[in-house]
Amino acid sequence: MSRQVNQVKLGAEFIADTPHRESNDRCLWAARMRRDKVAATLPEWEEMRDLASEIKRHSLSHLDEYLLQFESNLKNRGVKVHWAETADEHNQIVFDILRSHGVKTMTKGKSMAMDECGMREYLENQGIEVNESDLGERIQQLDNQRDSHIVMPAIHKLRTDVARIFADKLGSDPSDDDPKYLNSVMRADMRKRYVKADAGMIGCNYAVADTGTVVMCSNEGDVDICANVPPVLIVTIGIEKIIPSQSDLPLYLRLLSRSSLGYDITQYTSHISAPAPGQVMHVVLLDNGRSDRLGQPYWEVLKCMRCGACMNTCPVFRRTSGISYDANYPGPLGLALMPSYDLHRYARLPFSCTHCGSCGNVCPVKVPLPELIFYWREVVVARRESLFSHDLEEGMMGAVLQTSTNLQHAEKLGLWALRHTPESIAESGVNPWAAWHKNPIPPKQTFREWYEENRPKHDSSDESSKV
Amino acid sequence: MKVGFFVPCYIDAIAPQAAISSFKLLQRLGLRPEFIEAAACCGLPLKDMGYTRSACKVEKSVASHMAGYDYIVMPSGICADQFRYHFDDLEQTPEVEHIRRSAVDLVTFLHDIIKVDALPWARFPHRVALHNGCHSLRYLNEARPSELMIPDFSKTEDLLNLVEGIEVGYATRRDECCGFGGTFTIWDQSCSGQQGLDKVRDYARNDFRYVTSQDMSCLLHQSCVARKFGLDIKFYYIAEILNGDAK
Amino acid sequence: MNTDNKSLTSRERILQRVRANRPQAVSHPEVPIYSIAGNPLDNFINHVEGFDGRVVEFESREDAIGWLRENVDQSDSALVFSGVDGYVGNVTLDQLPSPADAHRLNVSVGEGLLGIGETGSVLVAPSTFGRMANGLLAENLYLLLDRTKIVDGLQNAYRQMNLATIQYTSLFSGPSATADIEAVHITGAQGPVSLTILLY
Repeated sequence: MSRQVNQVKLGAEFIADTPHRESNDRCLWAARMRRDKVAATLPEWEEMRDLASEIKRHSLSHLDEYLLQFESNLKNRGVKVHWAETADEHNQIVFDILRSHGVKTMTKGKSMAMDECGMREYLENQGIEVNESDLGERIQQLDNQRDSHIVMPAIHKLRTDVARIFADKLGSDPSDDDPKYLNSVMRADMRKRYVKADAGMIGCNYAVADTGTVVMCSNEGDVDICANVPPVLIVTIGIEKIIPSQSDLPLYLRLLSRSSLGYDITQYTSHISAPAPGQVMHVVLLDNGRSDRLGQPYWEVLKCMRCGACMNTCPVFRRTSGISYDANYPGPLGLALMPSYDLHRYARLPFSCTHCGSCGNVCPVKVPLPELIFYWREVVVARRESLFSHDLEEGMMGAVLQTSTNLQHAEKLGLWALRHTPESIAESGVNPWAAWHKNPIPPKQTFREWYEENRPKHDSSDESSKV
Repeated sequence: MKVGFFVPCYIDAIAPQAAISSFKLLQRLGLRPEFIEAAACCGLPLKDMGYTRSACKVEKSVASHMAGYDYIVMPSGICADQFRYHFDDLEQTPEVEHIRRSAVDLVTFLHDIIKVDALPWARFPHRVALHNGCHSLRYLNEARPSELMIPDFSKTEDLLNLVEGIEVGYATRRDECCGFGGTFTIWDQSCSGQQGLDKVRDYARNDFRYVTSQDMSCLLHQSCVARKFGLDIKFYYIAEILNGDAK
Repeated sequence: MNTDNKSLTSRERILQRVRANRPQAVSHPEVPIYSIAGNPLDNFINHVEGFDGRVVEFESREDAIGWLRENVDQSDSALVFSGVDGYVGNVTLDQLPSPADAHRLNVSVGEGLLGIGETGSVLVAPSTFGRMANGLLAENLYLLLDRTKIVDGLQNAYRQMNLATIQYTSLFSGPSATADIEAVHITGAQGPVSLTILLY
């Protein structure tokens, strides 16, 4: 059985690290604030969210037709299209392609779908040199750590961390932690790798069915370089990325970068409809559970377009960092999605949420994240997946809360304890809440006691009162 | 109009003043609220943890005492949200459906149903930070959440502005969650505590000495954090200000 | 995962499950064309500058070409590729046999196909730079753009395009950039470090 992820414990470690926590929170909150500012300039913002959500519903309800249309358009232009049912099959397909072209080294753009398959590690074990081309992703690769955010993979790190990693792995000046310098180190190092890469791999933001087009949105230019410079190009696409038509694309583009980082558009919005002259192009359509999810109560999570807005706004995510979720998809999206990959491993994740509802409000395609998180809590309990003392807790709470008499007894006991327990004990380790809280000041009387003394004179069987 | 008054479990024991001020305010506005003495808990803490079966028992039990009112007013947005939108584990009889429609948070009741437009007895000559509780804000629509690009409104602020001398303001992160989250504060004490600390420090940085909210659970959490970290801030449930009890 | 139908291909099994699990069908909603506030040309210039690009305005295309002749360094150490009529660089496509050779370029010059006021984007294609790599690996980019080709927003821009008929197209919005380290915005990530748009 897989080991259960304890997000609370990992999160507490990050919270205790004040410089990292404050930086993570500041950077992500700034993105949320920029998002609010640019979204507010478009009077049609909320209407666009409704439409984007509805078109995703339409696409997913006709997914087979659109997949076939997409495939046939690409095939007609000489693109080789593969279908992968599982992560293993995906990796095998990619490896076979690379082997057939004698690929030894490759550069790859950021792709959550490839990460989901554990592709980089798999290929590296097969002796292929894989170079992540996105700066944040490259930092995480060199540090041998998962991404902490689906759009900003290394946002939980400080510049000093990056300086240390680059000095270790790329031989840069360990005393220079200026992000401009660190970026120049990355640029110079990657230039050498692009030149000798035998293949490039990229992910996809939108797969347009009616034109047969792969659309990528990025900022650094690396994705376009991966797609245009090496002689072999492989694109991995989760099957849910399909949108029906070119005319749908601007709606999504108008929402994506504004939701994600708070800018009107990404620096590069690129469309591939055919291989470049002299280039071989493969597309791998990845299922890995998506076709099963389509028939589940939580299918709407497949609408997600991976903008990361839910992470930027989540008060828990910003303070605990994406690392604490130990999951390919962290944050609110992870809470709603990861249990469908491994219920036992991610059984505790749905509880890492205050139910503030902010994620649902920023989601550009209106995935009902708060509802899905609630859904998974019920599933975890119903399948007795979690390791915490459910039965005891549930039994006690249930009994206490069920009748007002039991509740009053419990309240009296609690109040007595509040009033009479010496502070030295009440605020010690016996009461873990005390690390952050003073105990409430016990009131002189409960509402019920006050009510006894102040019971209204009128008889409740009287004619109902009128305003 | 037959008005029932539901007192949430946590308010009865730990924050009775919220219920006392609410009850007296309703009386002062000419209503005859009936305290539903036999009702214990709306089932939210269980529901929140995914204990659907036990939540159902608690929901059934509380429902049996709540029939026959035009409105059931409660000084708690989280409970109103539970009754209205999550009370679905028990059989949906016409009585249960009626309870779901009639359960209403105090702020919604005052603003939308009896449309209070004057509180001549209320005076609070202070600058006060308004914290809209997440459930009241994002699930009960008592104000515009900062994420939504819709016309601005705030029922809570409208009511507070009827109070003489008051100056309503906000923390810099005006509607970021304070980290209470019901069972979350027990489940993840570090994150809940850090969120609470960030919130009360935000008030302090903006020189707020008074904070109010329509959600007493947020205020309990925030006040306990503020005391722990030595911040001199007073927290009042909104009805304490609206009824003129806050000094 | 469904293990039935071993004889079928992955493709067939995926499609079969998709068909079995599709949510209830809904029709495709109509999307209105939204108007964009402000003047497209002003919006364009503001957005390009917001993305750390530079805009230089000219009366005519000839003036723009003249400016390139005066301002782009073509000394031996600075390789300049031009994909535009009327302005010649000092290196040809034949001298850059592989796409990767573009990393030697100091400058690429191309003619933008379309501009977008809403985002400050310029539409380019491989033909803009001889091949796409020249527009990606060159250190500095210069794009000529006819100001009558600036449309108000993304929706109208896509109405003028047909993605199916062009191998590769890209909207360039400012030079490459990153904010991956502590969200510090840095211009000049892995693509060009500068982008100058010559509006005529």
